[in-house]
Amino acid sequence: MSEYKFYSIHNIVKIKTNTEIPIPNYFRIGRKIDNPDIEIIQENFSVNVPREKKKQRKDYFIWVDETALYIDYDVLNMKLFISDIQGRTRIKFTETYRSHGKKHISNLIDIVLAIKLIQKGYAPIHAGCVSCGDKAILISGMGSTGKTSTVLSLLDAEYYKFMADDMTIVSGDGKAYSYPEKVGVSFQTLTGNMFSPSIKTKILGKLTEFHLISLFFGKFFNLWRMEQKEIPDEMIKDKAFIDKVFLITCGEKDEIKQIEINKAVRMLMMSMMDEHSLFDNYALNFYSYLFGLDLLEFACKAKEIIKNALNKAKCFELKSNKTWKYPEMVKKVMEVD
Amino acid sequence: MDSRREKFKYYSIHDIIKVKTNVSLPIPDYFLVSGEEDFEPDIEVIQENIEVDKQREEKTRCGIFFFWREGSSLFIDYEIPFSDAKLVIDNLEGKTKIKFTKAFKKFGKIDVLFSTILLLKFIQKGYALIHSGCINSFGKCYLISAMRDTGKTSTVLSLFDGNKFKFMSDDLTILREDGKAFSYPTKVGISPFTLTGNVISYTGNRIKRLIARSQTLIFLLENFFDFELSERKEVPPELIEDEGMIEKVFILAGSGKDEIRQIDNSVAVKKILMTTAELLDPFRVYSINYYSFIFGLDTLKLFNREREIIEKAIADAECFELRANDIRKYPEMIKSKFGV
Repeated sequence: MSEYKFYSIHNIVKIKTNTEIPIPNYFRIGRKIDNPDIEIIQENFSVNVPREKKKQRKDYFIWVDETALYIDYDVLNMKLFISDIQGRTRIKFTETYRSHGKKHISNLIDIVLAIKLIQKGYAPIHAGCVSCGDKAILISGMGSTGKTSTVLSLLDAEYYKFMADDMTIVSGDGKAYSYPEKVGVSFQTLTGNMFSPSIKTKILGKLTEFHLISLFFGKFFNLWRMEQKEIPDEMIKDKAFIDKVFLITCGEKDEIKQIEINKAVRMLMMSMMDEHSLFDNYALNFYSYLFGLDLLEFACKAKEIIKNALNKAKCFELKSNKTWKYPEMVKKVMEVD
Repeated sequence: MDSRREKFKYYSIHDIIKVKTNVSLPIPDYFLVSGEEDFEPDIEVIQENIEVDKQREEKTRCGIFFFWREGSSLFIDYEIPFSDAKLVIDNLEGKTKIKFTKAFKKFGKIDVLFSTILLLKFIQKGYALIHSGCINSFGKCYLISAMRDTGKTSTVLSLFDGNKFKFMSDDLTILREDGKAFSYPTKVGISPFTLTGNVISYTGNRIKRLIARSQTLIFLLENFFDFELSERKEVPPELIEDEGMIEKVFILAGSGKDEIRQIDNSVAVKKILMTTAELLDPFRVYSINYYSFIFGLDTLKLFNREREIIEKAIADAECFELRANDIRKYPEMIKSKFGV
């Protein structure tokens, strides 16, 4: 009775699901996929394992069979099932498990997706990406230091097209692949010409320019993610060769500095692990422990892939405390070349 | 000056790492020292007022906080009025100094920040801090590793008798490449589910024992109220052994048919590393991540070095994996490998 949705992320990873998952709609395809790499199923299921077989861990049970890990709370029918991370992965959970640990499930999906990509020789990085002709420009930094603003301000549908805002997929042969999630436009985001925020966002945006208001009411009224904007498909570039990498490091003095590839790789890696530490999910950690999956090795492999991906690129550090300077700085570098 | 000195506590962790602080940190009291004049801390953790003479424009706004660098320091300032929340991280590569204001301490999770820095500092010095219990029998060390709450403490406490088997650690153990293990005797967290052997026991009260019978109640109380079923007990210092050579490694691998089998050392390394990453994920503290990003500290490389240290440390040890449906079986299975 449940209806399945299918996603194909650049033909690299294929996903089958019957529930809401944090994957851009851009990757949704109409036809059925027979061999998905990841199956994510939300359903009611029961597991007939005698109580004494389960391992008691205070408020929940955890146990394993040949290929799968089960977590079962006695309360509220909360159950989770993970199998075969290295092959055809299946993740199953009950509705209550999801609603009681919303972040937990989307975080699990993010990490499993990252593992799948790395297995296949691709790496997810925490960077925005725009294309300029056949060249891809990566823009990365820590947390909310101006990635989205820079990406959106650069877009003009003519020279610069959109590829990704928060996460980009790179391959060892130097390509960047789009990952067009909805763009979270908050009061601090510069949006360029491509969208105009609604009146409500504008008014609230003015208010929240004051640090105090955002500090005290930001979380409460959810001012941080004001609008989730979908970028129209015709403005999206699918893939391109990585030409330049910009790392936003902030600082008092405005400065553009070319840096070594190794330094850029280290910074990209740091930013990615800060956003999505591979060790961040308890259930997956437990799975890895029991089945001998080496998450640290995956992280090191990702670093290797990123290094190869940047092989022909020029890397720059952008220093400034004014977010609106970044797009100008990027354009300046692009014009010189 | 003297009255100020009184407030400081000094720790020396096996002479490997020295810590000076004026707040309470998750370091066992076992390592407390008097702190002579020439005490040179590797890590200073100080709560004090922090004066800043920066203008708003000179700082970088990042979400709800501001940060900037000054020399080898990363400054983080939340600019909360009437409650001055600031953090300074200085020189993670060398003599590290962490400073923060009282207001920052309230929500800043100093414990987590400190234990992550401690992990990195140990690696820099060539030691690996791992998530494992350890008992010592006449100079030989037996590591007992598992995921959180899956029987590690029960096994350690059931084996330990204060006589033939002495206590080294319950949760964290320090390893050196030459195969030596060092104790880290934190207080032992025990709940009514813990098997406690003969030396330490759960006192609790009747209410707690009743609550422990229902998973539902534990779930509700621990998730929605400030309730802690476990209690923390100190192991008497005379029953603690300082160090020893690693002889055997036991990996508790969850449920299944009762079984103990020898495994490849490389498999044991993976599992120890994984459970350590779960407990002390080196990427979980945003302020350390920002520091690393800005100052180019390669946390991933450091953590990979941890793997190397563990590999070498247990190279000569025999490693076993244990499965049992009932955690009471673990100590028996381990004893069977001692040949007593």
